[in-house]
Amino acid sequence: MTAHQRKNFWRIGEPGVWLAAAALGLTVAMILLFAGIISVNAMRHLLAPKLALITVRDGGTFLGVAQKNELAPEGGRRTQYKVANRELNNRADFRWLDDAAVAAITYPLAAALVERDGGGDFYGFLTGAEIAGETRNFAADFAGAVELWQTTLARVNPPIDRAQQKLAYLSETLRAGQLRQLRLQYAAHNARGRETAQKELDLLDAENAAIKQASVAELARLQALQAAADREIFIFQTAERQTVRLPIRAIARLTFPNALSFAGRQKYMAARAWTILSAMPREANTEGGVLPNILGTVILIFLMAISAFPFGVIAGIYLREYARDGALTRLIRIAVNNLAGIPSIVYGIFGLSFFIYGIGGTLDQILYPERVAAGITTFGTGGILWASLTLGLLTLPVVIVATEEALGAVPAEIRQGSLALGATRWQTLWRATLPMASPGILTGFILAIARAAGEVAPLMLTGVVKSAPAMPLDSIFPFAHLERKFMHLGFHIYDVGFQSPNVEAAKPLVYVTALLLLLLVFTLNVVAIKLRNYMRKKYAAHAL
Amino acid sequence: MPNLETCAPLVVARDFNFFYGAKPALHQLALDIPRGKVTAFIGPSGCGKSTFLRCLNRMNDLIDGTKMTGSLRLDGKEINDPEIDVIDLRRQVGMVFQKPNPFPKSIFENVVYGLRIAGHRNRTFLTDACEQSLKRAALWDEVKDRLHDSAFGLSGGQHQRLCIARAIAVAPEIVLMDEPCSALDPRSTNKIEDLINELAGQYTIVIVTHNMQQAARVSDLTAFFYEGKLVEVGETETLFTAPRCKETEDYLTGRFG
Ligand SMILES: Nc1ncnc2c1ncn2[C@@H]1O[C@H](COP(=O)(O)OP(=O)(O)O)[C@@H](O)[C@H]1O
Ligand SMILES: [Mg+2]
Repeated sequence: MTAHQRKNFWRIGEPGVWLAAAALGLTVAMILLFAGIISVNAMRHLLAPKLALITVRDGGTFLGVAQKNELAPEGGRRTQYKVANRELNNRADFRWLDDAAVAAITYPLAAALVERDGGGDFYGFLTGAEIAGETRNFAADFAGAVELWQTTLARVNPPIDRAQQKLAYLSETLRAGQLRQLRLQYAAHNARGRETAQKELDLLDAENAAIKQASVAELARLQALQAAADREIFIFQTAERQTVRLPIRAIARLTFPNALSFAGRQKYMAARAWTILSAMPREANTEGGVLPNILGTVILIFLMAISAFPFGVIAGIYLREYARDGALTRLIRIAVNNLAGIPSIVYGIFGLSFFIYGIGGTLDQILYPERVAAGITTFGTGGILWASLTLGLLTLPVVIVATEEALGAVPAEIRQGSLALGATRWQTLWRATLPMASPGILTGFILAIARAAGEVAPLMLTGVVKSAPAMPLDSIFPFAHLERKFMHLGFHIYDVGFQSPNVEAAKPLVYVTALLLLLLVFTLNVVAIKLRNYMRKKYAAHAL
Repeated sequence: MPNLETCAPLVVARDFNFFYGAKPALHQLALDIPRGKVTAFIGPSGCGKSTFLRCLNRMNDLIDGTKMTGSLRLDGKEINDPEIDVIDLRRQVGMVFQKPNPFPKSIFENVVYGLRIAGHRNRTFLTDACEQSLKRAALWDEVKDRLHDSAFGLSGGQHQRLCIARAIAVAPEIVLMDEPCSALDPRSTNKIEDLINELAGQYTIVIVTHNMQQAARVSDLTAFFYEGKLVEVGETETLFTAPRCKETEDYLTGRFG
């Protein structure tokens, strides 16, 4: 490098270019790493594991899935195995073993992985089945065993599910009846129309009693069905040669992972993924699916969108198009910009005090005085409606600013051209300005929504729960129960990852949930970009 | 050319003053704009030509703190009257801007925009009006097959002719053009000039231009503005060949402006 080149090197600004390129490279690398770690860990939850039969030097054997390998504190390396069979292993799912202590590792084709409805996974060897007192042997007939499991489930479960649904319906109806009873009692107590109220009360009493009776009968029927189903049993033997009898009904999935073909592995993965999307959580959220969380998140986003969009756009239009540019307008503009920077937990507190205690409490006083008297809250407690209004408030400033900016970006000539043709300000806004501003407004709006979709802090104050007894949408009138508590993907990550009794076992599900949330936000952003491109093409500011 | 004095003028300004806040922009204007003629406004930048055009359709109302004094009449009706219906006035006074400003709509919707906001809904009426306006604006042959495509697909010169079609679709009494060709290439400029010559006689046209040849080519009458005052007005030929005032002569010979 000559002296001249060296001088130029600094003057041209080469170091600046390099620095900028390095910063960009680092950013891209971080994003890829971030998405990569989450995806890889989530995939591990879906992939079929290799079930190893480990013989220990001192003589014992056990079935396990290697989790990780690290330097042991005493020297050498050690491996963590998931050994499942919680009830036989002092309630522990995992076991550390020094690599030096391993005598042999084999992967027997007959090793079975059993996902149970309760009690965690089970690893063992299927020896036979007991159907209606009759014993059957499975000498390495893996396909036959899986088929038997499937056919049994398909036969036994539907009536049980129906009974459970009916029971849930009855209890819901009973609850509604009891609330009506409470109301009538309150009315009777307050003198007005005492007689008619008393008559209705008697009727209602009879009705509720009938429902109770039906519930008891249904429960008995359900228990009988379950007991009958529980007589169909798979018999396993653990690696330690202990015999374990598991009701087929309680098996969520039966797999022989070491015997799976390539296609079988793909099918296993697809089935696991589908379970996550379509099933309810099990075992304190650490197993099963996240269907109520997905539904809760989607409904929340939807309600938030329809509450924030009209207000934000109208406020933005007023600020830009109608408000006189005085001190007050400027003050409001500053306030709106500052609102966008307030920590979300503060919105949560506001939602709690204003929406829940303020509006919700008042609604309860007006609509359900009898429930207030009995200490039952309906609207005066957290629920999906209040949570979405709180999030709507959180996105509002961004929507207002986006609307203002998009309107401001419309060339003045368009407005003047319209006004000069005799259009009123409203006509100009509606027919010329707003269509041109719509791409910008919509993009800003969807980005704000995507940002709020992952917020958790305000939800914790306004109605999210780790396990909601019922979803905000169901088949019971009036179908949408917006006062209900709900579950949410973001809160699920926090709850399963940090609050569950078995954090280690729940870890994969945390990554899967994080990946789902990521995909949801990613989808919203892609929609925003596509929409903007489409609208731009339609209403593009002309290139003149 | 008929005697100018015998035509009843469409626009009459007397002792007309205009202020941006405290700053005077037009001073003691006295001007007649005859019906059915093309009148050109010339003068150096900042002398108030656009300001005067915007007085004619009260577009200056959009600017805070503006004020008019004196009398400005359109067809005998006082424009400088707080009681008049501005929307109505603007329908009678079409305007074409320096920068073409088509709306983010189809060609058809652009042309009938003024009619739609005036409440016309009849489809055949709108279709006929669109065709006629586009024909008058010499744009019909170029766009008749894609009336429902976005107006943004047209070229700059076509945009400006579309804006002219849009202005004449509402059948205004007068069309104001503020430097309509300054953003266009020479060919498009030629087309617009031809168009103005076509429209002359059917419409009263006022055109602001910095191009002396253009003023000479298209206008019957020329008014020369200087520093907010109307210095001289007369038949274009006379004004260009034998200006009465020294400022006019200096401007025409390019000594300033
Ligand atoms: N919106 C406005 N506010 C204040 N002054 C203005 C405004 N528009 C124009 N002016 C002033 O009025 C004078 C006339 O401007 P204009 O009518 O645009 O001139 P021209 O069109 O002849 O170039 C200029 O001195 C200009 O600075
Ligand atoms: Mg001008």
